[in-house]
Amino acid sequence: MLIAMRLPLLLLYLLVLPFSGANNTDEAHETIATNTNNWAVLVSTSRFWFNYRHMANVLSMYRTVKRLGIPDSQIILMLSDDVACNSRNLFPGSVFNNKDHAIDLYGDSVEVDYRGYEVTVENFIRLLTDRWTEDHPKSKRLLTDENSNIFIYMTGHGGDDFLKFQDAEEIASEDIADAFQQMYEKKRYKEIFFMVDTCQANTMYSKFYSPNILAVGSSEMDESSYSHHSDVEIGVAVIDRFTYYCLDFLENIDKNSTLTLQDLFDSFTFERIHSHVGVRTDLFQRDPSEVLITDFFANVQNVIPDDSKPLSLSHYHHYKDYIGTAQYEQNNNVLDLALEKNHENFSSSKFDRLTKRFKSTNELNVDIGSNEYSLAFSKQSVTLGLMFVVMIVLFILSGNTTKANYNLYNN
Amino acid sequence: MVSTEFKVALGCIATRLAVMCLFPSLQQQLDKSVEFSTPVTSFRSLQEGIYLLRNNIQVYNHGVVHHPPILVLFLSLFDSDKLISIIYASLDGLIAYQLTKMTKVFKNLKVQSWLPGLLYAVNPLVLLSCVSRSSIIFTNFAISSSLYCILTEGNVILSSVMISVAGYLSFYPLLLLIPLLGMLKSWRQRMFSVIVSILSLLILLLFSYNMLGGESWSFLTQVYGSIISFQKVFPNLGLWWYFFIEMFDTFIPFFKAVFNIFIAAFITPFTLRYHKQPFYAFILCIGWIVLTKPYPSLGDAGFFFSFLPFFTPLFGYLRYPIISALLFLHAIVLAPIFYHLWVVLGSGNSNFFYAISLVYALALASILVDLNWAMLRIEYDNGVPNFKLKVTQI
Amino acid sequence: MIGSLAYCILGTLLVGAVAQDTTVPQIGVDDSLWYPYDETLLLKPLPNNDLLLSFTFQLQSEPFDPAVSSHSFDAYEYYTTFPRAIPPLLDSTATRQFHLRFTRGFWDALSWGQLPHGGKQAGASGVELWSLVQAADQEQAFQNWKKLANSLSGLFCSSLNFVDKSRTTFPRRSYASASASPLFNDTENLYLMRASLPNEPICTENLTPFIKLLPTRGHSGLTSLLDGHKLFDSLWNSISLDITTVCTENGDSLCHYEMEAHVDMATHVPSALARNERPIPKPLDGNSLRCDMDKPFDSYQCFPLPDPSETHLKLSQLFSKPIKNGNLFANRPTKICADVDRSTWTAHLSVDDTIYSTHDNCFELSNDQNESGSGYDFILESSDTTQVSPVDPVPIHVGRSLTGNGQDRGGIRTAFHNDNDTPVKLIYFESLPWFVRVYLSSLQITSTTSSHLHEDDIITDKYYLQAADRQRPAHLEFTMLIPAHSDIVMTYQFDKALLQFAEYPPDANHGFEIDAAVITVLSPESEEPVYETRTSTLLLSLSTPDFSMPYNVIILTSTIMGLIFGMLYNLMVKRIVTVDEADKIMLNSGLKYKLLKLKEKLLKTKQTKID
Repeated sequence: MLIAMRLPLLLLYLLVLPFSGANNTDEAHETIATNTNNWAVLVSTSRFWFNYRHMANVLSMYRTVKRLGIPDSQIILMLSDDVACNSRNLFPGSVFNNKDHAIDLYGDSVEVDYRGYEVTVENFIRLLTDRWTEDHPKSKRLLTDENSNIFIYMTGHGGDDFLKFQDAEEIASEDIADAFQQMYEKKRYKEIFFMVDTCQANTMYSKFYSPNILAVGSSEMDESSYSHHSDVEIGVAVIDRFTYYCLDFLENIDKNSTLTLQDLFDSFTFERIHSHVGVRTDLFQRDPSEVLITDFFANVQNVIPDDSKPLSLSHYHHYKDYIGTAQYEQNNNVLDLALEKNHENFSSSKFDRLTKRFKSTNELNVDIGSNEYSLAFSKQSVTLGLMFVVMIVLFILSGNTTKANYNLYNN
Repeated sequence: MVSTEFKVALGCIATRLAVMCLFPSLQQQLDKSVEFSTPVTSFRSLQEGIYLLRNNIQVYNHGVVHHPPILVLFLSLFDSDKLISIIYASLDGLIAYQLTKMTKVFKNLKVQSWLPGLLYAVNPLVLLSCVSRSSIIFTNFAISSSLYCILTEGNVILSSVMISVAGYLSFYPLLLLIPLLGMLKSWRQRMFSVIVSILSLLILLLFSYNMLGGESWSFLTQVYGSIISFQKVFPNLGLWWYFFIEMFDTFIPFFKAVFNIFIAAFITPFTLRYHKQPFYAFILCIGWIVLTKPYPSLGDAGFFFSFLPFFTPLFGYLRYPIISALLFLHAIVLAPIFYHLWVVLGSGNSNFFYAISLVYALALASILVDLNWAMLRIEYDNGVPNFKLKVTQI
Repeated sequence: MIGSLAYCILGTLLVGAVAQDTTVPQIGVDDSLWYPYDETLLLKPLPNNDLLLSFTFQLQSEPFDPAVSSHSFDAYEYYTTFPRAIPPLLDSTATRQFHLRFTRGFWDALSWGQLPHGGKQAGASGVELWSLVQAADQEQAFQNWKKLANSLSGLFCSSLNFVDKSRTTFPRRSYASASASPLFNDTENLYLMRASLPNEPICTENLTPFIKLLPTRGHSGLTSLLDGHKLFDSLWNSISLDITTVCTENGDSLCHYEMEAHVDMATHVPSALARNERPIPKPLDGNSLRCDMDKPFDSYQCFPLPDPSETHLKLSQLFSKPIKNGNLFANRPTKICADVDRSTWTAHLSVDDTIYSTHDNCFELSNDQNESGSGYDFILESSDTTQVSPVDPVPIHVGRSLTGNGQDRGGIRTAFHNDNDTPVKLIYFESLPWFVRVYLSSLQITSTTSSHLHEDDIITDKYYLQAADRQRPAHLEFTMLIPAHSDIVMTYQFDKALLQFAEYPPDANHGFEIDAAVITVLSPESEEPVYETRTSTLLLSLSTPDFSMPYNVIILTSTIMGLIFGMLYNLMVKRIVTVDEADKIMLNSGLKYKLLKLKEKLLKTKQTKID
């Protein structure tokens, strides 16, 4: 009977549910970015002087995002080898991406977070998922939250579903996909723009499965990406084609630009890049023609207002009435507490600054041994030795011997 | 009239001293080669131990010294280099003496009593090992003394004590206690032997502990821990080194345990299967340890081969002696060349030397397998050889 | 004429200084209005047309009470010029002092003499860090040290996070600090730890945070000259940072931090100036060659003259920019000094088209002169650059090298050369990585100058701590006495270890760097350190396994072991029978027999079914 009464209610509820328009606006297609901070992770994975162009690629991107406003504290720059101060570099302290040497990418205030042997697959995955020991400095961590847009740029030598790190190890596209999924579950990003410039780059994003990732790669499977030109004076190629034309476009962008990512993608043609650029948009909520370039490359600071109850200042205003009483109301206003404590300090006579709080010493490393040793034939050892000898002699004398006839099979 | 054994011993000493005098730099050369010196037996590290002992620096606080304390103390008592050469040569002479005496025990053996001793004296592997002053000679002396005591005098106590001395010097000969027990007749004797050896080992360890000022048991990890856990990975003719260089980090402890079990794996089976021929089981166990120990050297192999003349009746049954011998020669001739190519010239790869170490292992293994087959065959024939019979195993 | 003009200008300057304008605050007048900050630049011409530039920056923090914990909510910290990043780091790791050195290049002691500042501000090639940490025991001290190294790696963009137990040593007599250090907790001790990363590249990313620590931040004062392009184009450069905690014993027993930062560089002036005109070193064309007229000279032959010995050097040419202005907030003005030989060199300060000179070649930049904002320039002129002010003689010349060939063993050879009339007492500190297995018994001292030499005469005290694999480096510290006018050579042998597959760096065939040896020269009477120098770092090539082979090796070795085990096992457990017997038995129990039986069974059942 009761069930019969409940069933129609249930049916009614089920019917009404689709029409409850409370969530409609959230599911609606987002057209504007609502991130509050922008981060950039720029990774170069190759070692050795002849991979100068990969450092130049990454430094060009670094320069672009810095120019458009992302501060160093929100950029993680990973350079796997030092080319600027390399003894092979004719221009110490400078890295160029063009043979006209118009722009010095290294400039005056570059901050490299991971250099040399620190650029490994393990560190990259740890960086994305933020799994570090407690000693790890803050400037080397990706401290993003659910309102961050992250621009991730990787360059180096790659292949079908892998990217080579420092000529010694590889990262698989599945590893990056899993790292992104972890980031999604830990709410570490709002949107990710993943750009990769290697050979067979499009395979690198083929395995992603987390939402809100937009990916672009410089070449299809079984296709190589090419370098743009070499500098005779430096002696090696200085920039890759994909990054060169990317920069060609981005140099015209400033903080107020209204150009969209679709404009960027449209500028990549096969005649210029000599490989097929691939874009993956199925995981991304917005359409690239609605995404501004500055959503990822610049440091736009949207603000989310805090709609909770305003902090009441009544306690503070009435503080003056509390002088002399010991009854403190339970409040969680830190300012009140500080003022109360300060009042206490001044009114009491615990203010004694004459006691010595330190002791000067010149003794260092006091409890570390001196690695010395002296041969000590203590009484114990001598008695042990004698005991041993006596035991042997006694046993020999007492017998318990055996004689055996050992026959071997023979002919 | 000087007996044969003394003559053999003197001849042995003479050859060693002659080589040491004629080629004075040979000791250093051999000490640097990986076939004759290993991190736990090299004379260089023994010298380092003596130096640290004399200069009041802790000997076993990590570092390069892996020799047991009593050995280091014993050799630190001698200052002169010549005296040390004489000690090493005389130890070899003693081993030759013991081999000769042991041959006399086997009355049925139709071989001249001086033959094993003479072969030992001219065996190039043992000679070069003695010249290189590798400390494996002390272990070999202890093992052969143990055999000598049990065979010639039937002295259970001394042979157990010598086995524990051998175990104290390098760790794995302690496993030879099991075939030694196989040589004894009654369970009472076996019990006694076990107790005596454990007791003497304890006394030796306690003495070492006290000798070092009673400071620490650090010599245990440094001497025995480094052998068991293969701490110093250095190329040699064994199976361990390249495996543990290339193995992935997380699996290393597991495989170290497996390799240790592998060494102990065939000691008891040999003893049990050949319980009617305990001496033979003992020698097979020596051979097995030489094959599977972490830091093998050619001195060990030479010592093993010097016992083969005791088994001349088996030689008719060997199925492929030429192949085993040739494999062995191939390995020991090419090993130094490939090592030189890899390390000194840099034109070869580590794989060359690794391949030769595999060939060496196969050579030793084929010798062991062949000997096993021969003994099984002779057991089947009940001592009356019948080479014509075609047999197989099921 | 020019001299009198200069004196006129100097006179007006002095008059101007005396007649103070009360509306514009003058630097150096009232200390309480200004912040504690000192910056100095010293220029010293060296032989062979080289120039040493030493920038010194000194800062002090506001006093603090060591008993008050910074965690209590009413504690506050007051920062003026002292960098905000450093004190929390010192507090959280209980560090009383730390010293950081970034050095690059080769200091030519034979031509240039002593290192600047007595060698105390220069490190070994690469990064060097040592610190005094307060902790309850050695393990706790190491944890604090690791935290310090990690934080500094983030702060200075260098790989100091690679500092771990296998690179840290606890020096005994070297690295002694000049004064006593405060201990804030009586139950704990102070620990001195030191580590060095010799293969660390030093580049602009290490200079940038350094400049940002200074209050002027590269925008004014001497820091506006510091530029990575010029600094790293030099023959030798060193960036150093020293932070110490100083507590005053009297009065209110408060403590404060002191920071001393140095940037020293030695450049070859003609190449540095030439880079401004020709960024790429290309051969000069024939017209611009300077040819020796005394030798055959025509269109095809030219014997080039050495570098000109006259020079008119401007600092703005060297750094491509003038000094913007003096610092605007410190209680002492920016100072520039030149240490030159007065007979052939002159030094001037140029600002707003006016040239100043002083009697001691030291200039203070007060901002009232730089009214147009065009900046200060410093001019060095010389008629003969080979005449320089005398270089301080080096107490001891030390050189270290590797000996031996082959990748499984080698030796280290250190040569000491004492030119002086008195014997030199020094402490020789060496920290070798664990894969260099030292045989101290092979230590030998030889000399080319004296024949009978006893080791105990040269090495008076020996400290040797063996290396523990992957835990601890080998630590040698010898107190040595090198006799006057002698050449002493010290050698010892070592074995090279083979590392595990994963421990080799990506470029394993490049080799592994060994830290430099640190030599502290002590004064003969008081045994206080007077000079510090370091040898070069060494590059050790180790033998490498084949990196492409892990699976193959595992498979091959396991196969051999399995083969051996299998053969012996088969021999042991099977029994021997004759071939005929075997056939009979196999007939009744072998696989063929079983299959036959199975077939029969099936046929039988079929038959019965049919039936």
